[in-house]
Amino acid sequence: MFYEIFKFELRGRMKKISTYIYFAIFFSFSFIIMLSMGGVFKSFSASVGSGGQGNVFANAPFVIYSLINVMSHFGIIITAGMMGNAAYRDFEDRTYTLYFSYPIKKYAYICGRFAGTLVALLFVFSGTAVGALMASWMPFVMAEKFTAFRLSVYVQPFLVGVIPNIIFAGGIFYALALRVRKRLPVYVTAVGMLMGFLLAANLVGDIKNKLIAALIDPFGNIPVQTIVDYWTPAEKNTLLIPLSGNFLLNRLLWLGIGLLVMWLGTRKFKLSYLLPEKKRAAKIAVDTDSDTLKESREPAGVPVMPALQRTFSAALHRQQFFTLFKNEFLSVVKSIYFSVIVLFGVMFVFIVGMQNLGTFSGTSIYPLTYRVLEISSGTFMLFIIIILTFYSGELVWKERDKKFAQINDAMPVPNWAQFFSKLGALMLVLALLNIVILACGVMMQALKGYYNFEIGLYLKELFGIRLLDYLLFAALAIFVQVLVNNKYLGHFVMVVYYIVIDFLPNMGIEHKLFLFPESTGYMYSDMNGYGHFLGPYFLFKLYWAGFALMLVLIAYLFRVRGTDTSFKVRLKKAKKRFTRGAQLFAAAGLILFLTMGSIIFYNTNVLNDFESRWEEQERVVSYEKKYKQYENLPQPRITDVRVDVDIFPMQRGVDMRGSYVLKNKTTTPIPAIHVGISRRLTINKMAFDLPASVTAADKDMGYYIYTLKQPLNPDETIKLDFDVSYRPRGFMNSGRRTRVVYNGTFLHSYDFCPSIGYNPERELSDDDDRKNHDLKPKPRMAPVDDLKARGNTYISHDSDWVTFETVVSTVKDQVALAPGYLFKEWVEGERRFFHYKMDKKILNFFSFISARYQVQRDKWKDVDIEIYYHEGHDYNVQRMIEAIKKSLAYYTTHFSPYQHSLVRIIEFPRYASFAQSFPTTIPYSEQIGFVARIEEGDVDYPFEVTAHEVAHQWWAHQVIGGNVQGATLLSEVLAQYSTLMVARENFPEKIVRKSLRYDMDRYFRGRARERKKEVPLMLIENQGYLHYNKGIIIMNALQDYIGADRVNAALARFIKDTAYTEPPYPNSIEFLEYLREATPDHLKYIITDMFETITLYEFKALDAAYKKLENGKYEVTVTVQAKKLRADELGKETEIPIDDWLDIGVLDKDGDALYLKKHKIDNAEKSFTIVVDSEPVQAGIDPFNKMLDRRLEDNVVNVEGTSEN
Amino acid sequence: MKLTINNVSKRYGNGVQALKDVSLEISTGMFGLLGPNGAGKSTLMRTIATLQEADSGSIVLDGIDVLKEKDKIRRILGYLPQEFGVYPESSAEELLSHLAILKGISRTKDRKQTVTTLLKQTNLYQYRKKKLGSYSGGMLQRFGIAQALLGSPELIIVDEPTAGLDPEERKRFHNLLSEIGESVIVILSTHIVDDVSQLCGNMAIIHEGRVLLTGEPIKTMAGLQGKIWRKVIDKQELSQYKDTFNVISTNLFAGKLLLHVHSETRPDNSFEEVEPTLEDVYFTTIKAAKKQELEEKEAA
Repeated sequence: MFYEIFKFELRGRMKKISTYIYFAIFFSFSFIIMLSMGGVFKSFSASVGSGGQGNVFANAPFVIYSLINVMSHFGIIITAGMMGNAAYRDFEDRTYTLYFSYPIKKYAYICGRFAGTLVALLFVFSGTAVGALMASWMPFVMAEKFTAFRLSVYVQPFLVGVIPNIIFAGGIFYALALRVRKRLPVYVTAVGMLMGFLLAANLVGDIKNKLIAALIDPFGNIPVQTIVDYWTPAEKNTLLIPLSGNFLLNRLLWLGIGLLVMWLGTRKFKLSYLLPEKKRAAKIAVDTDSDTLKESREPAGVPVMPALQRTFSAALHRQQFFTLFKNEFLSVVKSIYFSVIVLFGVMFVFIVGMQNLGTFSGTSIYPLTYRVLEISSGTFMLFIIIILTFYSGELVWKERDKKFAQINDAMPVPNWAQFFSKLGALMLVLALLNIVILACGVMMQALKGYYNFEIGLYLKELFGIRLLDYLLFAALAIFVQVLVNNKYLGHFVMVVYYIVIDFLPNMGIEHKLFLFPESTGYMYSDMNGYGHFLGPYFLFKLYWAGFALMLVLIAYLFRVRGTDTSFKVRLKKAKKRFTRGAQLFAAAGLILFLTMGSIIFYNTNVLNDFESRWEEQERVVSYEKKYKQYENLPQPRITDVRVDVDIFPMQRGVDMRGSYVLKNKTTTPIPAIHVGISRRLTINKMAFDLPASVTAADKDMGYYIYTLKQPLNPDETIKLDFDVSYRPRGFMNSGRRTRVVYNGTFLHSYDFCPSIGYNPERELSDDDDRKNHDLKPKPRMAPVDDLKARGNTYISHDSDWVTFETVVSTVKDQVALAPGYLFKEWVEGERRFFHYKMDKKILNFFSFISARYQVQRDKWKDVDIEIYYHEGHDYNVQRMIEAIKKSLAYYTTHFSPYQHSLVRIIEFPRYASFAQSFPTTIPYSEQIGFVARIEEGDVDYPFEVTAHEVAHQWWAHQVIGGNVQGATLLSEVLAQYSTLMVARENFPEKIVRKSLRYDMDRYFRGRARERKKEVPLMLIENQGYLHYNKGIIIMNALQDYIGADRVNAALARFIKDTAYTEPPYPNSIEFLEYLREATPDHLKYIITDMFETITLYEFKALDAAYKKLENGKYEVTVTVQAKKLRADELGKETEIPIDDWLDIGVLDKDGDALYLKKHKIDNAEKSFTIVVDSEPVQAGIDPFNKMLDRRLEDNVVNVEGTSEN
Repeated sequence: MKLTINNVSKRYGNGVQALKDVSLEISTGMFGLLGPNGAGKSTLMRTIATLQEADSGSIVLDGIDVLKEKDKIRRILGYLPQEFGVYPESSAEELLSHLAILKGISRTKDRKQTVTTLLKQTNLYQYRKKKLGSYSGGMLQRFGIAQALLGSPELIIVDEPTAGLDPEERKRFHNLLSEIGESVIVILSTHIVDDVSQLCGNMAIIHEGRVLLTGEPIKTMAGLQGKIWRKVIDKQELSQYKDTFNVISTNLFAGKLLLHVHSETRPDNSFEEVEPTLEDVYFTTIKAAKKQELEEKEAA
């Protein structure tokens, strides 16, 4: 019986064309994505699980798993449709009266239907696997992006991912549909689940308990995520997702829940056709009917109708409109699904908000209003999109769904009232939802103990800015629903639209004029407000409003009224409805669209060059192709810099006048000088003080060649005078241009000052991009021992150490800043001038800043400390001052004297979120540090960031590496070490460890995402996860092995020998000699492990037990195991023999060490017996995670107490 | 008042010819539109009710072009579709009041009075606060009638209005309609012959999109005087009789069959003459049309 029903169901499914359409959709999506990952499209890239990027193969097991899984998530709508249909089809078709009269067993019916649909669904989802496989066999894919075919790679995702997920989700849909016998609730549940999936991804990182995190996700993504988070490219390329541990538990749990729900849902199901609810309704009807009969026996007196005065005036039409409008609006907000979706939304906003509000990339900040708005609107946006997509269909179909359309359409109501009441109601609903966001935001701020609710900002952002987008979407959604004239197809079209619009820029359609309802965007900053963004933003929105008006009008014209739905009739009616008023409406829309479009086009394409990403790359490519030949041409070096800068914040412009002294430091005469300058600048003057003529001027590339009448002889100098200015012309299609802004200008020298010679930094760096443009791959950095490359520092290609002087001017109410000491300050008319001067030579690396500031001053010994901050951002100013003092104290004691007598921190707007150390001066983003909220037990990261930047005054501004591999070992890694040591002096060890643990996590995540190659620290190629995160872990371990004093002494000697050196600049090989020298012989191997190779450990505590001794002490016996691994560039690890000194420790209940000592460990399991003073709780190997180890939690085990004997 | 329908034709997208050259003249009073299911009654009604376009032809009500000046017609129209639903969450009073505004009854007082009157007329007054979702089929049908009468319509179109009503309700409804029908045009479509014979001063029989017959029921019945014959036979004899006589209808009668035959003269002595009913008119007309169609097909 089961088999018969199963077969019947499956055969029925396989006869349906829709089954094949679904298959085809999966097939083609997967096919295209795989082709893209296989490098087929040059200007279009889509990737799943970083397949085809860097070193991960397009068909790596992990990529195939992700692809199949992601597609099956989006397929949840199809699962819902098919499973729901399997359950309610008999009721919808009313075949149940027949079907249920046959002698069928209940579970044969239920399970047969379910299983048949399950198999059909598997067929549908297999489209992904087949599509991916077919694409990988296409002859035109790049062969090197593919690995050998393994069947298991395509099958396993179904076994561990898709099938359990279908049984879970499908079981719920099926049971639900069987109970309610309706389509809509199933549909809504599916959308809910899909949202859950999308949002769950946000939450992974924030749940501390890994087991709970792994179990709460019904689709098993979170446990997979935690498994693969640390996977190196090599592992992604070879390993299947292991079905074990938390992932296995997750699968079993949710499979079980799915089956349980299905059992519970079908338990009460009977093969009968009355729903319990229906029975109730029927009963009421019977009651009332009997009343009717009773009453109708009374004589039927016909009451008198009032005499009516009806005037079909404009006033009546307005009244009709409002009653309809009210009716439509209530139909949305009173619907149960609306409340459910909003409730879901609010819940997610709170979950995401409360997790993320206080944090910015893992650090804790105040819940500022703009941040709350970003998070809550961002999260809620999804729900708004769902509501407007869903309810546009409900509203357009309301009368027809209720079979009320014929009555309604025959009413003497104008078309416009019927149509605009619906559109208006939808728009009002959207406005209402923004109030919900506002309430959520304020509530979350209050819950976080922050009471500076900027209601004005809320209103501006929600109703002035974000609502516009929703209204535009609403117009589109109504348009689609009307035109398509099929509710479900309409929803589908909208979903396709949302996906495609995101995709188009990747396919080369980048102009925002084509991307409804895109704009050039905006970013709010406390310092600069909405800055200059809103003008272009509203231009774009007006442009789209014009477009939307036309959409709305078309929808109005083609709206179905009456029972004729053929397109011919609709067209005929549309012509009739295109009256004078409608024509005016259309004309208004068109005029708005065209005028705004023209203004935008004038800005993006006439005032500015519009360049697609591809064209932009082309420009860079031709720079390389044309001028790479000059890379090694001898050029004079800049030795003195004098720049005068006038900043015009309101015009967002800047003038720069200056002069360089250039010196021929080579041994040959230099006949021509090559000058590079940004093409966006206007060059008013560019002249040498010796006779020279321009022999090449390439404005487009910003490359100029000046041939000297007399070659510049060795040691001779020449002066270059320049006068350039920059004024933005209108706005561009992309790029927000946030360098010069109303309040918070932050200019880098290299953006506005000329440079000398060819600049290899400008070249395309990504190998895939280079390949697409037919360029050879480019090494990220020159080899560590490349002496020629060491002729430059890693931040400048045209100078060594320079003198620096500047006069900066700005508007009267702002302060302008640059590196150096303030020599003089004066006001002239409406402008304020500042003259800064450096007392020592510095790197050719400076910046100019202008904004309205509060200043806090302090002093450490004879060093002036100044913090320039935005009013109200004084939360952490004192911490920064403390950090500067503590840092100066430590660094001057242990490394060398501070070369300047000033440290200045300057806040700049959040358009960038970093802090950067210039000589004496540290620009510091408002987003980090300034708004940090540090509580008891938190890592004080404003302190850490400050200490790090101050350390750069030594590690970059005294000692700087040559432009070869390993350069940042000498700056970033050492700055990290310095920070660590200052932190250690000022914070409890626990906080320091917490911070280090964070670095450990970042390192392993970072290497998993490495696109080119992971290298040992001595060969580091400017990779953040290496020089910040691995760097600090390694330096911590180093000082733990040999002692901070020895490390510091080595560093002091290194500074003494290499500070302010002229080329060749030092490299890591030289540096390591200092460390090696400081390391005792028995530990020399650690230098190799830490700096010269990628060495990892796998520690495991196997068991531990203690017994209490008679003297009151405790004897702990702990057994541990250690493995040592070497990884190659792709992260392929091989075990090597171990014979290392490692920590063995016993911890008390607070996690503090009762015993901690290094022991020699080899490959064998080792047991240690240790006597400690108080009760041990945990014991193991490397308990404080000093060494690199992916799994930290198994380093220690709980110590079992044994009875006293 | 006069509604003139001239040569109206309509073909649906799927090729079905719903109306073929329909011409009718309807004046004040009750007009019955009689025909089997699928005859085109509803299409015609919907076209008059401004919900559907005609491919050709014209419909004029006292100088108003129904096909073009839809809004004018809607102002004076009361329409009860064959099948309709409601918003289950509203009460009868709420929805009726809402519809009253749509019908142009803008003054609150008028609206209240109208709604009350109609609810009383349709015997729903005591359930006015109940949600429509809890109404029985009969109550809903009465609600439909109430809304059709909103705004004192001058042209009332009711499509199969008595379906789902019990005999008592049906009677009540008939009374109501005939009362209203004294001063306005009421077009009633039905396949129940008795409804027409009881109510309508005029009628048309429509079949496969064509008007087969128009006239006053009494006159059409009179036209058949002396041409309808009946006989009781055994069931198994039916096919034999069908071959020989123009059998227009059969009814079961005490286990046997009661035949009605159309014939200019008495077929034979076993038949007895009967007074023609509207049903006989209906079946005779339909039968003749079918026969003609068959001949046309054979000829083609």
